[in-house]
Amino acid sequence: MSDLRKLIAQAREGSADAYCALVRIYQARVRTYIGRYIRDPNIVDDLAQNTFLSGYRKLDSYRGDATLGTWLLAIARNEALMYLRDERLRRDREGSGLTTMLARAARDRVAADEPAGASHESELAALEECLDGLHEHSGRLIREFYFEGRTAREISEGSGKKEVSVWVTIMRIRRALRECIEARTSALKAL
Amino acid sequence: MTISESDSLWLRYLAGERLQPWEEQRLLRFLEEDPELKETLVRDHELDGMLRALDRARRQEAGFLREVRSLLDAEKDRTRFVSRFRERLKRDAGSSRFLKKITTRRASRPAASPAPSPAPKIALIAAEFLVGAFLLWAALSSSSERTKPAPQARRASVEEAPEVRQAPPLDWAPKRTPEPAAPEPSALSELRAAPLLPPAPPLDSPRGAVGRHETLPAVAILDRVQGDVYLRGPRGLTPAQPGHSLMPGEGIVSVGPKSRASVTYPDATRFQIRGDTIVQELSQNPGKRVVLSQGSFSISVSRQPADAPMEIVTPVARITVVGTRFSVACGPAATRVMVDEGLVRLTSLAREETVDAAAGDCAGATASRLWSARSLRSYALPSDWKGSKSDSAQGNPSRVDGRPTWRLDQIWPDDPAKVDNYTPLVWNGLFWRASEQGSGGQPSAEVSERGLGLGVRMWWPDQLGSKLASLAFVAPADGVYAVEGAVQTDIWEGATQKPLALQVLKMDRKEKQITEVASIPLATPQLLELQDLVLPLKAQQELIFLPRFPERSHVACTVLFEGLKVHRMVSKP
Repeated sequence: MSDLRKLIAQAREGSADAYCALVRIYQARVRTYIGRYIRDPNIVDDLAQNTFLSGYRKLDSYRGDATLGTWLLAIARNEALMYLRDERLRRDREGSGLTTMLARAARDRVAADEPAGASHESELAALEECLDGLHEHSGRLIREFYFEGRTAREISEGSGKKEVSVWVTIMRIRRALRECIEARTSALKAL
Repeated sequence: MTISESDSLWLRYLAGERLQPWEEQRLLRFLEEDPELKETLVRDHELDGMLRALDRARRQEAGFLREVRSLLDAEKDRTRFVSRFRERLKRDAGSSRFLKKITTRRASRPAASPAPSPAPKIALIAAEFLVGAFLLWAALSSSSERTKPAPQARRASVEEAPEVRQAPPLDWAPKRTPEPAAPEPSALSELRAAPLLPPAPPLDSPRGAVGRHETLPAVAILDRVQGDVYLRGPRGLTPAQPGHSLMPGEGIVSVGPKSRASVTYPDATRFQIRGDTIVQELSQNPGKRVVLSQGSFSISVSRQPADAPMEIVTPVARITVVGTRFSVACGPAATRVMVDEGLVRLTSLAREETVDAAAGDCAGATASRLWSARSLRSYALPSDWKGSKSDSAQGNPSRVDGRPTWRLDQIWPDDPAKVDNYTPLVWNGLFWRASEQGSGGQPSAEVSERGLGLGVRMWWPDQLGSKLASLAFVAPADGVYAVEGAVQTDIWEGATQKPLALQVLKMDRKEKQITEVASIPLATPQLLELQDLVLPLKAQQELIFLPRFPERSHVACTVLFEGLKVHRMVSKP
């Protein structure tokens, strides 16, 4: 029996330790899945916790037809969908701003993501590969901005560039990353 | 570097800049007119979100796992505690009628005492005999002790104890009226009048104590019961009644946050258990021993023989006492002791190390560490906190030594991550309330004898935002601070599947920074001192206590802080 199956079996018997080991394995997948549609990091973590709590409660119903990751992403999709539905209603009441438009778009995209997270796992893997493949300067900039918590202003002060220039560069790198991800996932689909 | 107007607006939006309404409308028009641009920006938005979430998943994995773990524990504790308890009731009662009676009693809380029991007369007589014998034994013990030279640290009762610290120990219960330390003849008549005496315990005590016909096996007496309290014995769980003689091996279970029970020993040692607590068993061989597997109690221990100290055993620690007054709180993974008087020795069961805690000290044990610290100064939440002028924030913050120390805030707009969103609540003559967004009465704050209640409400379909309130402690000086107290929720409108949480934040107003210290699920009452809320603060930095709602839950509730204190600590060598 694989380690993963052992953990699932132990978690089904009520072992919180085993379930937490599973959470450790899948938390990045679930959090990035929710994070791509919902911007507030606290809400992302809330919904991810809901996902894992719900998964714990329903673990007996997991039949193993799909991977546990896919099963958890299906729960995460429902969590995100319910949140975005409420958020859309709320934003609709407040007016028709940009945030409302993005909330609507996110809701439509989550609703259309069927089966849930089908492409997310491959996209996340592709993202990590594409990050590794970035040019040194671009890689450093993305690392500093996204993974080391430095603001665009701090980076600009350190590099002698204008802040807006840092923002634009980061946006261009993101677009390059997007193209890289799409190329890799398309190649995978073609195989 | 030249960029398009749409990109420029988009970048400013992503950077968190607030666009002017006309700028936002312009960007929206760009997007509506160019579906390809819209698709590109939506995807860019998604990738930006993924990268940010990936960062959090990498950097904050441990914190996230802790949160999930605490949710699982809360889930398991709640379901396990209730289901095990009910199963045992079913199994032990052996009669559906008996179970029905208990269920009815639970449902009708806080109804008066249950209906008289149909206990057989013989059990009543046997129990009364035991109680009488216990009282006789108690009287003999105390009279024989009176002939000895008066022990220095001997105390007749808790009430006679001098107040060593300014603030009392953790105590959720209302103030006690003076009660006799050991049962007096008047108590006997009360016991005789008790409507239900529990069945006599079996002769074969689980701990091999002597039979009741040989000597007096009772360890202590259950002298006060409030709410749903049950005796845990070899025959299972039975409803507890005041006056019950606790035999070796018997324990006490309190169900629900408001349940309480007091136990008194013949030598006036007395402890009071709080809600949702399991005292696994009591014994005496020869020293007193209490096994606490969950929950908390406060205890006053009369001077014990040096060779037979009293022991309190929790899942991770053993507390040894010769004579003292302190509070103990324990969960499955941590135990914390606050000492009011005397000396307590805390031994880690995992590490077999010990630490001594004297009056004013705080000591704690987890599987991985054992620590002790001294409180330099305690800052208790004011018990009487009123404003000095209606419709004004005068009196908020509350001051200690002329310095702002405690402050009640509303958070509007309802984004707690922004320092500028916190503004002091105003006094309306009766309670603290918001200066705006106050329809429906929330956010609000009211200080009563029990503590501070924060009234908060998650956004309702017809409202624009959540009505949040927070409590802030402002550090008077640089130092390490520890939090003590209890917090629980009373949801009075709506419902939520996921428990509410208390978010503890550290705010630096000068730097305009807010960071999370802890997020504590509130499915059950929580003892804040078990959450490792010990942290360094610089002068004027603030510790924010913020009730936080799960999204999508339409809930209005009061979050009650009881016995809240912040201690400025110094580590002991």
